[in-house]
Amino acid sequence: MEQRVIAVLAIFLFFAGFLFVHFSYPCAQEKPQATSASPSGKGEEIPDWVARWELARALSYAKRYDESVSEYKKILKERPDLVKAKTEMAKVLFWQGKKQEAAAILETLKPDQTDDESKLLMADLYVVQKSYKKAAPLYRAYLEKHPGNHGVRLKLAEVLSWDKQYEASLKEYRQILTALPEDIQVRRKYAFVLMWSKRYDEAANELRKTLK
Amino acid sequence: MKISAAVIFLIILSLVTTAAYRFFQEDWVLYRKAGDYFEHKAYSKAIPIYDGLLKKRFRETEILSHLGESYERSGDLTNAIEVFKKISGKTPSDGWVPLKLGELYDRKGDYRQAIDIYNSLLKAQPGNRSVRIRLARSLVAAGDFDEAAKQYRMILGE
Repeated sequence: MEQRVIAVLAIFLFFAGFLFVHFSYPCAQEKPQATSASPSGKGEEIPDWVARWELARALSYAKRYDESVSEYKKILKERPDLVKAKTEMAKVLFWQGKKQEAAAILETLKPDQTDDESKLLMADLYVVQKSYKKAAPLYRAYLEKHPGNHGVRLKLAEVLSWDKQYEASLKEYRQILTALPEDIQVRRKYAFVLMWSKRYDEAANELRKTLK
Repeated sequence: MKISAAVIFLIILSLVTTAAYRFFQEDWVLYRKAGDYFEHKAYSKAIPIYDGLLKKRFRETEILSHLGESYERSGDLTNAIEVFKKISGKTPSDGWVPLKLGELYDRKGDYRQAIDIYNSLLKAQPGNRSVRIRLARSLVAAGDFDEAAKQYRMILGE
């Protein structure tokens, strides 16, 4: 009886070994996905609205703004939900010099609909319109997510100074200068804000630093 | 006694079969090993094995494809392009290979080469929307916006 059990186990072991050798090693490996490319073109179906969107962008890069805006309008007629396309159209209008139209489009967007780039664009448009009080919170919202963007922080500092919020502006300038102590242009602007806030001695000190 | 002998014989036979397999089918074992590295994204370990197998001309076309993919996934686009060029030379009828090459040239920033590839593919298949969109995108990346716009209009049938 015991011998029979051993015999069964041995046969099982033999077949297990056989199966391991013949089905594990020599089996053709699954080919790594060789490519995403498909010769027929069926693998990459591009809906018309996507192609048109890319066309609108290409036209804007080619500075063919009228045509670009016209394509954006066609896209938005078909897909009014495309907030990003709306923002891009506003940007093209801005480049075209149609700042009021651009601002009107952006104002139709809810704050939670706008991405960071749109917020910046909207803030820039408010600056052009000298609506500094509207621009500052947008720059701040952007900086909450991108605190290391000194360019945007500089814009915020400038806007605050033009709005006569000198202390808040100086605070932003100091933050930039901590990161970029050798930036003479930023230090000069900082010095001017110090002068506007009647802190002449400090302003003179800062200006001296820019002359070294 | 007879059963014990049979048991020992079977055990020895299974061990010998496995050992013989590993000895005589070494390339298969290496192939499998490289495949395991590939699956675990250890491309730098898979590449020399695929290279070795290629020198032995073991499953050449398939190994080239694996090697090209390994180079691509490890970010070595220059070598990936070289490998896919070889594949293209061996299997010129495989339509996906030029597309792959175009894609690699695009990723490498060599847009002009990609554009040439897409243009030649479009000569054979002018209605291939997928290739035309790739061409348009490469043209945008190359800064040829007017030509890109023309291609997009063709895609839209305008």
